[in-house]
Amino acid sequence: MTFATWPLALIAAGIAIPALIILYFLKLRRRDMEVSSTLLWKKAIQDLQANAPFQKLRNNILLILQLLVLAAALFGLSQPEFKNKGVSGQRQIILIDRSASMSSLDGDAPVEPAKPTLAETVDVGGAPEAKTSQSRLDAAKKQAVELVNALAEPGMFSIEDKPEEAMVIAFDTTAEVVQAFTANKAMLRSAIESIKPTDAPTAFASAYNVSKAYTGTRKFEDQVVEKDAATGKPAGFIPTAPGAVLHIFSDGRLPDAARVDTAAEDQFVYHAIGSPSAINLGITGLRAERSFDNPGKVNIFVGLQSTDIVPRRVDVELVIDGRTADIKDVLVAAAAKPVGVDSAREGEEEPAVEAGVKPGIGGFVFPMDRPQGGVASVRLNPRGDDALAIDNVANVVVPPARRLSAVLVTAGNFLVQDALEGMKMSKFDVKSLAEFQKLLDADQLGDYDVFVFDKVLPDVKQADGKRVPGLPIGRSLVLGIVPPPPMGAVNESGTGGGEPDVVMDYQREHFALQLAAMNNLNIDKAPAMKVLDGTPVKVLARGTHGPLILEVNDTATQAIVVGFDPIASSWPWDPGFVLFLINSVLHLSQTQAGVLGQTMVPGETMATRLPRGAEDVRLDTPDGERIRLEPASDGSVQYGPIFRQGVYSLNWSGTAGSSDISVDGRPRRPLTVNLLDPQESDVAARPVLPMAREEVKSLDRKQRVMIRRLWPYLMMGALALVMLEWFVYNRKVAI
Amino acid sequence: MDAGEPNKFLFAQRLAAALAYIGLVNLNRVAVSAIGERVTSSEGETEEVQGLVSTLRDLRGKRRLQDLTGYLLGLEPSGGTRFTDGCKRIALTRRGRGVMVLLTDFYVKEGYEAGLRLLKGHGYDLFAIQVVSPEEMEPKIGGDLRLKDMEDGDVAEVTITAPLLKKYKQLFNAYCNRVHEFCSQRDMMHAVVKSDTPVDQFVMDYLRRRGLIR
Repeated sequence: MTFATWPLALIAAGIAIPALIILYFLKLRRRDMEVSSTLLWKKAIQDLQANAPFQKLRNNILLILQLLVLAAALFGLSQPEFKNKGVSGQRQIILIDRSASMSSLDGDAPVEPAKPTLAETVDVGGAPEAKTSQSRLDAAKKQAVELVNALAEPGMFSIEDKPEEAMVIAFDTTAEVVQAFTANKAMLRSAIESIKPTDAPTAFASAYNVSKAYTGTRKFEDQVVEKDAATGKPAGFIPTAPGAVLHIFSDGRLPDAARVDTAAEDQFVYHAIGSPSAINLGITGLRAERSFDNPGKVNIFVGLQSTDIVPRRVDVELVIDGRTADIKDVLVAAAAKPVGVDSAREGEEEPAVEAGVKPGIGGFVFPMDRPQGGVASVRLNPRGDDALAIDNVANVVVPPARRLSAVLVTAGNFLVQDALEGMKMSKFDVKSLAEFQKLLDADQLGDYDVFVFDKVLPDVKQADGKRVPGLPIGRSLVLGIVPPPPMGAVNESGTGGGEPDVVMDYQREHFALQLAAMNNLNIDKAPAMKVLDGTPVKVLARGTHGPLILEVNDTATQAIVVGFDPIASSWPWDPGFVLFLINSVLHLSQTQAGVLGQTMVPGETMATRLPRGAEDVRLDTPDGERIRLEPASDGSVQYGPIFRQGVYSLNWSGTAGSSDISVDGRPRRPLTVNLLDPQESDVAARPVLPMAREEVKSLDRKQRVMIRRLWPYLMMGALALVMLEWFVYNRKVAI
Repeated sequence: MDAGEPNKFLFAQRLAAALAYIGLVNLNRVAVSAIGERVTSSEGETEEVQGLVSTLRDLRGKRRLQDLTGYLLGLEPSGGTRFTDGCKRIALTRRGRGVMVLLTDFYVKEGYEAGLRLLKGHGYDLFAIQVVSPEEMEPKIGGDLRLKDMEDGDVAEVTITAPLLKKYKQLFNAYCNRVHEFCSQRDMMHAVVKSDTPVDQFVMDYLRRRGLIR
């Protein structure tokens, strides 16, 4: 126990205690009264009281009570407090994880893993789990409030005793400063209580960077080190940020924590929330695909994950547009046991699930014939222990079956035209540059999903109003010509220039290139392309002199650019060229601004492009909220970041896009937001947080209350004693 | 004696008048003496006396009733008692035998014993009637008080508490008992009478039973 203001209490005691005793020697102001004789009164007084001054104080219960009152008040004035390992004097940063895994309902579970017997785990069909009604986020907020209550307060009369300041940051993939540095505990408590859970994954880097931005900088003189402690040589100016105590209230599921470059001055205190043996089953993958050869057939791929140590049977229900389409009984594999644990030794204790074990995974497909579009919801019924409910539901937009439409802009290229005609698209046109330019200027290109430019580019309007050859808004495959930056690259060889080249490396996993067979490709004339920093361009294939194939991916413009002329290479004589053309067109058509079954992750910003002329744009959220959005001139709209998963619906007045549906005369475009994160679905809390500089162990709950102030209790005691003294006094004077 | 409700002195005056009237009516020789410390003249001046303030003596017959009542009504209570000196003066100035009635509250700080012995020593049948007020027997006071003795101005600072009141009552009873015992041992009759007692009832019932009057 320590005393925050003991000198003050000592001084006050030196004055108050003698004063109280002296008061007892002073005579009271008494009322005069005449009596026949004082003879008997004096004898009575003499019998009851002694004459000596100090005997007057003997057995005086009132004085004893008053001294006790005074002692309690003086003790309270010294601000006694119980303090343990908490660090004071530094700024406290409270980081509260609000990610999806923090919605697990095991907030009150002990941090140390439970150790059931194997027999027990088999009997119940899974390891017992400390499941409570309190979510991890609620527990984290409760503990954070306790921490705030324990922050040091200023001395009552001393300006030198500064209060501890704290700030509150809530984080998932993004970080939000809920309360900047303040010593106002009410504001801190209110800020903590206001934190709401999200369905987003976790990233610690953003939270740490935000916290460092608020800790400020040291004074210049504090950053000048005269001598290096190790070498003894003059060190000079070393820029360092002031240290802080970062309290991380999390379940430890911070995948990037070990990669965050933390400062040596910072001290991390990890408040582990949740149970390390928490069991969870969840959907970690969901994708809807139509067959290229038969677009009316849809395959919905579902990936599952389990952290239970025994295989689990679950029901998975497929619901399309609110109607149950299929239910499957699926067996999900058991989580892999940690190395060294012999599961065959029955009866011996072993951990149910340990942090770091490999979750069991399972997957299956819902195949069906459905030419029309819709929103497919996959719902998981875990039939047993399941800590997290968020990942039991996932949604995906199934686009209506349709064939592609494309336009080839060329001066004449038999090979390319023949390859594209073989795709049996619903509409395929071949146009000259002039014809295409006319359609572009008249804004009549809405019928085409993909433009294929063969050695030509239309004139597009730049930001400064000039018209230069470039990529129009939409999806384009460009062959034999390099669009200028920013939607392209700098052609340092000039038009028609270049040198012979071979492919050094290309992204084989990219959908457009996976069957391209570019290994033995010889190029007669490859232009020297240079990709500028800050442009939405990435290199898909690289030659000895630089990039050969680029991918442009902007909000409104997507393109695959083959910088060299394929005809002037060995590529057209390889079947891989035809497959590249087909896959590129399919890839571009699938990536059209989020309407073909794309799903977003909570925490991302929704961005899509609506048909030109869209007005009165509204976004309906899964919570029933309706948000008005203002589209840009090119029809693009943005909203976010979106923190809750579910099906969002954009609707507007105007024309519908090729894959949009119309409801009550208003075009409608569903957008799905799903967690689908194996890291977040593995909810077993980690007792140790691996940071870049150290492994931070979870703080024991008993140690968490750092400072317990006693003065309010002492003041209450003093008040009770005053009341007791008044009672005793009245009893004494009662006749 | 100038205290209490009803006033003890007034009670003593009434009782003295009643007893003196009985004596006058029965043609007994009646004398009345006032014991005190000082006397106040008709001009309002006070004069120290040696215990005996005044005496009215040798009254006999109903015709002297007016003198008797005039004397009694003319007495003003003031100052202390000087009880022993007063008793001594009475004892020295009185001759012969008879009945002597002493009306007092016996609050004599110097002690009442010597005075009583002097009075008894001259052969009188002494009746000591101790007049007390109801407040003296059952005080109804409270708080922090400065009690002032109305005779000698002595002060006692008290905080009235239940234990103090209990102690006072014990002392009061003990004091009355001691006076009674002292008188009994010396063949004196002693009676305690509250000032709220009707005088006629006290005289006709109590004193007649005790044989003071027939």
